[in-house]
Amino acid sequence: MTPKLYEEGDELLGERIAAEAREITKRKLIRLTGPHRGSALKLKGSAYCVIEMPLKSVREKKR
Amino acid sequence: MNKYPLMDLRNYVILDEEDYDVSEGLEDDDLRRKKERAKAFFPKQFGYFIGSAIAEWEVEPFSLLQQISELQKENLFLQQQIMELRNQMNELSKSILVEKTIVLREVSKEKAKKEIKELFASTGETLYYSDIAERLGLELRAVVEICKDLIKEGEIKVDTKTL
Repeated sequence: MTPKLYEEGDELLGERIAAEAREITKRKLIRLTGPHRGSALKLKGSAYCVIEMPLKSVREKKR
Repeated sequence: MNKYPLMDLRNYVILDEEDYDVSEGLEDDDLRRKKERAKAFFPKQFGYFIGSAIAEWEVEPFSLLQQISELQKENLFLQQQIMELRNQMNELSKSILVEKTIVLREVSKEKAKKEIKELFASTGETLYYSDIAERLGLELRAVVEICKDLIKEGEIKVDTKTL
């Protein structure tokens, strides 16, 4: 079973993370190394995050 | 002194034009010549109207011209302000993220599971948890839980080509 992280200080690392929360702060641009840029924001109040997975049906599409 | 000298002056010019309109019955060529003459004569005419206004309303000439000049400056300043605000508005509207509201539905786990299965079957697309939650209006946490169940049941699988 996938572990759930509840503790303060727990970290989550992924290529694509979906999130839900009561409040999301305004996006801030951050400068990473060299020409790279990123964004930062905070989730506040009952925040839930999950590392996303691409999923597809095992069956063929209905015609 | 009149409170709105410029407005009255404008009305005065319009009334004067109406009173002395002798264009009726003129041939096209005569009208064209009249227009050309009027164009060339305008600064003089304008001076005449200002003169009339000064005489009629007992306005100080310097004061009136000063007011016109001040109003012109104010007008220019306001136009610049409008242009600046318009540019800022355009930049802001570009930077604002379009917010989309998702209305979450309260459905039972069984019904949500059925809907997710149907979504995968009908689209045939590769979907992420957030796509499913958004399309079906379901809570993200519930979608994750159900998708894990569906993986165990062999209904859906991780698309390794997209990873």
